[in-house]
Amino acid sequence: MTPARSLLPRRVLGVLALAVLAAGGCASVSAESSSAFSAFSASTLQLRDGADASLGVVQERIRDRYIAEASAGDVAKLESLLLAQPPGDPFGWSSERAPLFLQTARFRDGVRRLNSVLVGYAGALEQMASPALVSPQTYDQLATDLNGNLKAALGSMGVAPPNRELAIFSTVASGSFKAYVQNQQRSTLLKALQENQPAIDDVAQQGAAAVRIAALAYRNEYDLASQKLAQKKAIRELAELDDRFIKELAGLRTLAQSYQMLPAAHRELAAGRGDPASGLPMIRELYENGRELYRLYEQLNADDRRTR
Amino acid sequence: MAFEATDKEKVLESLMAARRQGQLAELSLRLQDKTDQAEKIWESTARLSTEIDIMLGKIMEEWRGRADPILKGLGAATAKLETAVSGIKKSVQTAQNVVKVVGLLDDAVAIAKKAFLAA
Repeated sequence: MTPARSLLPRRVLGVLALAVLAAGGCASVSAESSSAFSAFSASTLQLRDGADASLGVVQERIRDRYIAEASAGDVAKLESLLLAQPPGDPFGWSSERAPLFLQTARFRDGVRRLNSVLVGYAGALEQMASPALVSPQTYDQLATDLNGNLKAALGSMGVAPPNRELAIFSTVASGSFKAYVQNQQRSTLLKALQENQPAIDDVAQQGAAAVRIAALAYRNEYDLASQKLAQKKAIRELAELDDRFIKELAGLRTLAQSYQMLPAAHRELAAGRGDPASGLPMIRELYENGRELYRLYEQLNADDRRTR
Repeated sequence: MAFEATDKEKVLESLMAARRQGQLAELSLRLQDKTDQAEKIWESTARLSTEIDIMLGKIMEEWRGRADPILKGLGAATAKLETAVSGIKKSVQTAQNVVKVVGLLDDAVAIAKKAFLAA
């Protein structure tokens, strides 16, 4: 056996160790499915920001009302503002009856944390689904290195390297490895999507509940504010308050719908492909809902700027 | 899947609807200059408002209690997925290292062969 001949099988074994792994499957992570994951991920961001913006507004309103009521002589409300240290907790605070605006602040924080975990999960899915998880340059470099190694070794053995064949060999080897990696990505993704569907169902229900609670808080503030304006016969302000409340409710409705769509959109990702005619309808709708939410909040902000 | 309001949310909705009726009655009485009666209704709706605030706060606190295990569940799933992402990146790195090591071993064989021939 010549040194060159003994060398090649060892190299072949080394490379095939990578290539054989690819035999487990040939499915790939396509750019099309990756964009569905990106849309899903973007929608979770819109959900988080939309929910936070809604709760921020209502928290502010509750706080303003609380201050007004306490200033007007509501002793119980005044006392609730005096925070105490809970026994054994130097960094904690407590109030015999925490003011609603502080409870709302904690609630808002909880909703943000829940949505942030959802954003993190969707981001990890997006990364796993991305064809760019391993850059194409990495595979090219792998092929170049294999090719270079083989050429150098054959040259040192006094064997003229057959350039074309070696290049093909190294390209095939790195291509097989690429297929293996993509198959691993796909199977990990599918497993995660299937295993985590119940967790997504829970998050969606909890998110929708948060929006319903936010709607109750908004209605509570509206009922109290509108009553005051009606008593003063401040008709213009009352009409403006109504306009704003209707828009806020529309925003909350869109937000609630988005949470309701979330489980189906996640299932759609697991199914891998939608109806060829309509693509991935739930993900598209979820994404459109997020854009609508953004539009509604922009409109509300513009109204705010106008009335200031 | 349950996306409907909980019983407590429904109770709160009913309380708010009752207060709204009270507010409308109070307004109507004030417009008729029946201030004494309007004041009595105002006192009742103010008490109801305090109860509504308390109940709203409790519903928010209960929501937070339910959110904790959900947060942990999805957080763990995310961590697992992130580990898998870095696992794949690592397997590519391993492949790169395998290619490099094979190259180094071949160089060593070539050097040994040259040294053997020179001897």
